[in-house]
Amino acid sequence: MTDGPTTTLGTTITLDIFRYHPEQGKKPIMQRFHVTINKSGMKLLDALNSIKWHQDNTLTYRRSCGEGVCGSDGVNINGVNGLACITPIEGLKQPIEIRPLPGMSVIRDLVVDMTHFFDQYRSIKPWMQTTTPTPEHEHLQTPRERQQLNGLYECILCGCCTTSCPSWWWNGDKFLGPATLLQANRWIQDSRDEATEERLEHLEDNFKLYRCHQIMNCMQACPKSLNPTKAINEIKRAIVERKG
Amino acid sequence: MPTHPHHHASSSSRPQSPRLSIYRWQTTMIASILHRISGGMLIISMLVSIYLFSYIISNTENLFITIDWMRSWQGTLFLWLFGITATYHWSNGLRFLLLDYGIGESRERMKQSANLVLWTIPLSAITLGTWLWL
Repeated sequence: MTDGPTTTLGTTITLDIFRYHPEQGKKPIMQRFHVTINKSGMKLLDALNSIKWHQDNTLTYRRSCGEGVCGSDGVNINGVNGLACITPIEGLKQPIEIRPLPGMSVIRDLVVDMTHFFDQYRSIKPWMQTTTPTPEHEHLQTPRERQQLNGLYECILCGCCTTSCPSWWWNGDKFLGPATLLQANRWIQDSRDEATEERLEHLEDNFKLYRCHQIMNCMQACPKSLNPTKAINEIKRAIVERKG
Repeated sequence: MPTHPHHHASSSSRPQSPRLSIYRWQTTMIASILHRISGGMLIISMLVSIYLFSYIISNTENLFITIDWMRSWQGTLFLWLFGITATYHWSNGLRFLLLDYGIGESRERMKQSANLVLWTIPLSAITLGTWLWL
């Protein structure tokens, strides 16, 4: 996304934004807006805020932290998913096309229904499960064991990866999708967790896990530069190793 | 707009956000989709090949008819496409196998290997074309 023009202070940028108003009952449209660059390093969320605060306060989108931590403002930007708050306007091809995360039920404008996404996340029991007595202080890990979680624990569940996956678009009712599978691997790799067998048993399924066809859109969309495809392959290898 | 089967029941009247029609094509995505397409084409090619072999062995005259067909532009085109398809499917299949073993799993390597296997298409097209038509 670095093939666009240079944007300097005072220049005007053009955005085409997906609009859907449920009460009006019309089909979604793309609406054009113009925003003036008023600070250096301006991000896409700043442009959306500018539109909402100064041009059209009915524009609806999610946002919270504004710095790539909460994962609220995942949208499709010029055809690729990303977080509006950490995507620089500089370099984006204009008109910047902003749509809701793909393959999702649209509630309004850029807000999509994440219910199914979080139901799938919940299905992998994303918490530490142990059978041995809880230690007096904390569960200890060696630095090497802790290192196994790098590239996994950073996931903020923004949904950019899952909603970029064609396998999930077509089989999302059964295929768990990249975000949930990366999170599942986060617990499989955790040396303190004692439910690895059950977790692998749960995932070994033609649809839940094996619908991944290594399309790798997830890896390219992840705003935290994680690699869900690799995480999915690690689960597959863990299943093979378990069987010996 | 069709509703997605996995969406929440209460959202059935809501439109679905556009997906394949707007998603920007990535090289890794193209490599994967071409793997499915080339796999399908190889099955068809195998069926054609089996038919040709069974036709040849039925009598000697059929052998010469088949050779003539293979030398025609349709037969040569079949061989050319078969060769390109097999080369691509084999190359990307090897890439997927290596990934299964955890080789080339970094984000950069995944993109580079997709580019690499996609290059086998023009390269095999030129090589086989030269061999068949020159």
